[in-house]
Amino acid sequence: MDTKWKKKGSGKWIYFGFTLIPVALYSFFYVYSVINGVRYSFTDWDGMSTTFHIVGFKNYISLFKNPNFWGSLKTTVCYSILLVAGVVTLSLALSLSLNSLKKFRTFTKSVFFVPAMIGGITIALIWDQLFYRVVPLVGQALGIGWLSQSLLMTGKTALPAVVFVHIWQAVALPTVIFVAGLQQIPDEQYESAKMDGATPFQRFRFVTFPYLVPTLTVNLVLMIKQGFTSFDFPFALTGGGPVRSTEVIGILIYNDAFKNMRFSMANAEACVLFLVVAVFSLTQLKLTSKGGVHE
Amino acid sequence: MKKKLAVLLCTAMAVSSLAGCSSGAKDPGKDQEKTKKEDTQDKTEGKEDGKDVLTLEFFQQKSEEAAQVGYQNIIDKFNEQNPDIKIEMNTVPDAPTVLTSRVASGDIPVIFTDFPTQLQFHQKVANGYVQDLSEQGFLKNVEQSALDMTKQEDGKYYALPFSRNYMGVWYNMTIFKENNLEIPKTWEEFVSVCNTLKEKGVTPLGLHGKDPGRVGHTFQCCTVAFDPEGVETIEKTVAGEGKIEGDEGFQKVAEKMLTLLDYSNEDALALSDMQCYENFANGQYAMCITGSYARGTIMIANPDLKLGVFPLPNDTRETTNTLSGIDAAVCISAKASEEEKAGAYRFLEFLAQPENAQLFCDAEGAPSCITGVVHKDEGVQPMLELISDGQVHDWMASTIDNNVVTDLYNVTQGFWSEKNVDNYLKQMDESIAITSAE
Repeated sequence: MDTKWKKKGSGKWIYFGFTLIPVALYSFFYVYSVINGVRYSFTDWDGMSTTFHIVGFKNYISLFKNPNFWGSLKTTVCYSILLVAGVVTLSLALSLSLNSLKKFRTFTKSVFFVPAMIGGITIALIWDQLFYRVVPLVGQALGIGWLSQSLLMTGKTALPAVVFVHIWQAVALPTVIFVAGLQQIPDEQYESAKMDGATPFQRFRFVTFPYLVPTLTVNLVLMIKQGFTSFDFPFALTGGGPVRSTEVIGILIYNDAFKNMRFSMANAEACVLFLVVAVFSLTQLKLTSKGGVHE
Repeated sequence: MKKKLAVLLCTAMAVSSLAGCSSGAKDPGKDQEKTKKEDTQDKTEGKEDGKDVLTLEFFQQKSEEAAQVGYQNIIDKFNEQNPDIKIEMNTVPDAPTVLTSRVASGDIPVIFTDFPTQLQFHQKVANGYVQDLSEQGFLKNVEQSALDMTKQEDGKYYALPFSRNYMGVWYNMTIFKENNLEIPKTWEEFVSVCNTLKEKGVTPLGLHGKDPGRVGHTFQCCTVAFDPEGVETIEKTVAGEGKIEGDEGFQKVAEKMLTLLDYSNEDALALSDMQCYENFANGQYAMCITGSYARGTIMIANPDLKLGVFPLPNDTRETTNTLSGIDAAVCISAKASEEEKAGAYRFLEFLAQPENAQLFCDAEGAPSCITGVVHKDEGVQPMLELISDGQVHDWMASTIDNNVVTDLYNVTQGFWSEKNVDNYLKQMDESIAITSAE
């Protein structure tokens, strides 16, 4: 009995030992920088001066008075909602159909995974050309007015167009996670549901979905985070335009830090963004933790 | 036993990683010293005639190939004549951002190029990052007008102005010849050129409006060309002493900008700069409004293109101004060692000699700031004449906060799509009120 306990205990310590290195790296590269960033948001540092002053909440106050900041926040929220809704529904549909495939499952899965392996900027540049050269031709052929010009050209269509490209790339990983989740569902559950006379929709609603909730939580957190911190797609596709219609907070922060030399203001913006992401993530964790099968 | 070993290894790894971190965190200076020592070791490796070779970094901000070739030609010549110094050019993407972060972290390149008329440069000077060059003899080789532009607030000079940039109307000489067109000198002539081209079925003007930053350059160009007091009006508005709405000058700027849009490609707002240059180089447009920085890219798209440039004309030649600033000015880090500075002075002196500056001008094609350099490209002459007549205005960011200027870019982009002059002027006031309040 005694030796058994000892064994168990020392095993625990070894596992704990393995976490030490990541924790150390994490604290140095992440925690330290975050604390520093928060500190700078209370100063008037311009990004290169040797001295700076603590100015308290001045940056935050002028930020909240700035309509451009609120506009950018609104754009970011819209962007995230569109992205999360698009990615989750699409990846769910994709994973369900991939899971029901009898043949070529691995091959099809890898085909759908290709966009995830291409860098964001590369994809943005490819789509930039497609939006300019190909999409308008399709629109003209079909006689659809809004599709007959580049979608990145008008304020109304630019944001959905950028999100569309982001979805195109981002859908791969959640699909794989969903497929993994689907494969964990025991077949007996479906069999018994069938015997009870459940329709396909009922089987999805009462068997598949509860088992998928933990996976859904993971995917939602991933996507919300991606949506709020998005930078590469809007930056490469539109540069924030036309007329700020795709200026997500990431771009605002970049411009303030490196173009306008207002590092402290950029840090304040980043802090607000952090709070927003935290609130959204916690709310959705709370919502999805109820119900579902947690093993 | 095995497990004990594993625990031991784990802790050893953890401790070593922590040690690595803390030494980096506590004393970055030490690390720098280390690398410096390694550097000097590298330097001494290349001994020639028993002397140590001093390697100096030259960080330059032009991403265009032509400019890099120009600098490299001079550097090769310098390195050959000065065996004890080795200049190494460093070109990175998004150079202004990289330079800012390097300056902020104390890793300033010994020699670097910068934009001495911009507010960002004034900040670098105010913080003591840039070496004072006022006493250096080579500044005498610089044209007075260029030198005047780069004088800092304390009346001293911190940069060697090397070449100028400008915004203008680039035109395809072949298309102009085919249609018997002359270079327009007034706004009226310009409009009639556009009409002729339109009648012949040629799109007169290529504009690119997808990137707000590029719209901004056209906006700055139009403001300077069509309203001699335009930039000053914005300055007054920023100071709260005036308004753009109801300003006659800006009314004209906006109306003329609308005319330009009328004669340009319909998909201007969808067009990125690269796509526009490509279309222009391949003869889709007869003219294209852009900066001297685009010349190299246009020529790469079509090396056979016969390219010329003239200033965007106002009602008369006398009231026409062109947007032109200092494009490249070479500076020395104030934080460099005395030995490095001495080497850097020699390189700057070499750059400022007319025959060497000529090498750069020949390759890059921008007007030089060094007296005695001759511009050989005939297509650029109309522009050079206006510049040498002094009918120039610097970029807005030399007197107005960048934050204010870039927001006006966005407003102008909106104007290009809405095409409503009254709204535009009103929105400019609103934008300035927001951005100048911060």
